[in-house]
Amino acid sequence: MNFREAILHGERMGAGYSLVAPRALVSNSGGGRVSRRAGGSLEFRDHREYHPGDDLRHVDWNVVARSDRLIVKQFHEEVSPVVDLIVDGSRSMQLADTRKAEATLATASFLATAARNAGFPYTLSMARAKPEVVARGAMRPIEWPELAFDFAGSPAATLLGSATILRPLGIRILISDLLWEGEPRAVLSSLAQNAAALIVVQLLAESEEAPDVRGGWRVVDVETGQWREVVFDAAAAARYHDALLRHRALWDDAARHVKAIVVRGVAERVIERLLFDELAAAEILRAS
Amino acid sequence: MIPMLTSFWGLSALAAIPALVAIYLFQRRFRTRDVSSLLLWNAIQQTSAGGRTREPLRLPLAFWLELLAIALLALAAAGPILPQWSRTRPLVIVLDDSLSMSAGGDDAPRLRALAFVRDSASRGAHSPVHLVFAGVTPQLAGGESLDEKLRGWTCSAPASDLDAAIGFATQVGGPSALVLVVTDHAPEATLEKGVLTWRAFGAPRANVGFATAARSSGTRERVLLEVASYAKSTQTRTLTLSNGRAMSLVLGPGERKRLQFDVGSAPFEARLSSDEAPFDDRVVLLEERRPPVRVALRIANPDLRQDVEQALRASGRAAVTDVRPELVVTDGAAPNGGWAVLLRTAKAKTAVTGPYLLDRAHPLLRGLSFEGLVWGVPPDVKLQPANPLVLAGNDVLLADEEVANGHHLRLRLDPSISNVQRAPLWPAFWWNVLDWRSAQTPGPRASNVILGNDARVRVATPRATVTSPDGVRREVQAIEGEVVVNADRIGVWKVEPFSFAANALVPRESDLTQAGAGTFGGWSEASLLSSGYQDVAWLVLLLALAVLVAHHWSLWSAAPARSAS
Repeated sequence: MNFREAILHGERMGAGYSLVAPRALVSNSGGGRVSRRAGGSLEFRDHREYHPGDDLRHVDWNVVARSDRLIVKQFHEEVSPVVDLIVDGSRSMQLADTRKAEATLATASFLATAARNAGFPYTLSMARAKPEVVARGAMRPIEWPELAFDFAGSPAATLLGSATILRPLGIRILISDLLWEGEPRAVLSSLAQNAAALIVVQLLAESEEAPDVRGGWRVVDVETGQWREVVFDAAAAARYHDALLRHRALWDDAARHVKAIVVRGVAERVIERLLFDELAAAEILRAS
Repeated sequence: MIPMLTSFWGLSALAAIPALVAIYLFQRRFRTRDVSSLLLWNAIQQTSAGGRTREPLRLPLAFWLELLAIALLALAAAGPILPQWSRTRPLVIVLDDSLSMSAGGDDAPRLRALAFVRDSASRGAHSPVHLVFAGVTPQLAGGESLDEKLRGWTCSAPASDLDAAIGFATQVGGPSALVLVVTDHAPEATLEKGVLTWRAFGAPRANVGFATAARSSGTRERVLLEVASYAKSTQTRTLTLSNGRAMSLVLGPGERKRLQFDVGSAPFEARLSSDEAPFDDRVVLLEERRPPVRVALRIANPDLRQDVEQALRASGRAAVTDVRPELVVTDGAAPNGGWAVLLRTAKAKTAVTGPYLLDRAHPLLRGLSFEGLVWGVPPDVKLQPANPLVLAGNDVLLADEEVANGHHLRLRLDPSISNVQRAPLWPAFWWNVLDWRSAQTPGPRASNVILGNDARVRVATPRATVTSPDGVRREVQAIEGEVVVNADRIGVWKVEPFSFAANALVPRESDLTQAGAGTFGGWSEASLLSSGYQDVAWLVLLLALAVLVAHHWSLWSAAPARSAS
């Protein structure tokens, strides 16, 4: 299955599903206002005192005339989220002898299609040295340009600076293997800033989930070129597994902090169902 | 030299070590593998990383466990041994079973030693405990309990070969055994501390006893007695004979008195007034029942007849008669069965001077010297199929043939050109013939034996009832018509219907002047602690098994299957 076939497969799988707008919004500033907020819709909700900085267009001049008080109208903020799909564009997502790239593209295509079905415009960005928007609006995934996982570095810095391209109150979905050094809380906090929801999809290859290799290996980081020589035996496998669990726990902890949802899958196993069960369980997806 | 290197199997097993190292080194030939990040791989203890830092060789725990297991298996194959450290070593107590141990009445060494032996054996410091009786030949005590074993310690042997008993004790107890000798005198040589402890419970005593007692048969029945004093002072004893006659004997230090008495055919008994060693204060001498062998001489050659007759008469053991002869000597036709010496005396053309081939095991040739003999060999005389006893080249000169109710001895000799009948061998040969023949008649070979010797009694029945002096009866199987009884008790023995007497005529046991008490030698601390060596291959194998279990556990506990959860 090449990239184009993977995207087509994701689009076909996503045809029967719709993305669901989140009931609760993620924190944008340490958990202050997290539920219903006054916004810019036309549906009137209440009056309140004017505060400096309020939009003068919302001042109810009739009330001002009657009471000589500056009262502004409040309207329900209409949640009409857009979807920001951020795909890790580093080399590790196209690791040799794995199906990570196919699973990543199929999942992105699947989610983009589900967003389209829900009427949510989406933006597809590749996190390389800087975020690069490759598709937007209601474009069918099959129409996406060629995508490449060729960034030789960690996407962490890019994600930290991605606020400029992410639209406020959108549903943000990060698809990555999350395999980089560094504190995940900073990355997730940045992504969650002004987001309606943040969903992190971690895709690992089967050989990364549980390497079944024995003997001496020189492992080379495809992104940095650094290498280590290790003797991989049962004891080493155990230590690797423990490290993987610690890494997941770190991300889970960071996700809880910003109320993000983390969904995980193994590329070789999820490519057929594309994490539908996991996303449905997280109430992100429903059958349309 | 390391024991492992002296063992073929141990050395062979060591070959597995380089094989294991080779396997691991081969395994450590690193293959390149691209990974998404070193984040998780850094958690594995890395062997080396890119850079200029020299890092020590790191091998997994499994390698070291496998290496240890191989080394242990190799060690086990080499048959490792370790010193045994235990105070419960086997103990063999050598008990002097000779007569002298019973001298002294209530203060006898045997009685004094008994409590010590019981204490040593029952203290629990040694296991197992064996008892060896040191008599003429060492004997292992039978029985389950200590009392049962000690019941056989009668101190009635005419001698004690302690050296042989100690050697036997070492064999019985094994190389780790401690040996305790219980006797009544000091060792002849100085004993160093080691595995042997020598305890003596004797005391010097003045003793007078019979040293010799003999009874001769012939025209007059006579008894010769020799009374010896084993004292450093003058001793006086009363000698009482069986006919009631008594006499006082005064013996100076170390003096011996010889006494002769004419006696009748009745058993003769002599007693000395009692002293501390009663075993040598009484002798019983029975009539030496040795009737002469009736010999019929049927020899045509007058010279040869004379030579034979002279030799027979000189022996004092033959009666030449034709009435119911027990032995026929003839140069004529062989009789049918019975005992006969067949002389083949045809004219010889040649004589031989040897060398002679002799069957020295045959009783007829006992003590015979063939040196300087000129032997005329009659031609054309075949002595087959008899058993040849004397040969000169291919010529059989003397042969023995077993016939009905006896033996036929065939002698091939031309006396006219021989000096055999003039040689010292001649009367000795005929004495042997008579003795051999006499031994085949029922009755004891000797009516009086010295304590501890074997008495041989010819019987007409396949079994015989033997009664010891203390009245114990037992059935004994006759072997080739003869019953052999070891005379280990003083007094008159009965082998129905015959009797013989056993007397303790053992000056070495009667002499108590050298007896003494004390402890000699002793067990060294090293010998108490080191009980030899024990094979610990099983222990090494157990360790190897434990290492393999640990190896398996280490692999299992780190297996990915567990981590999949």
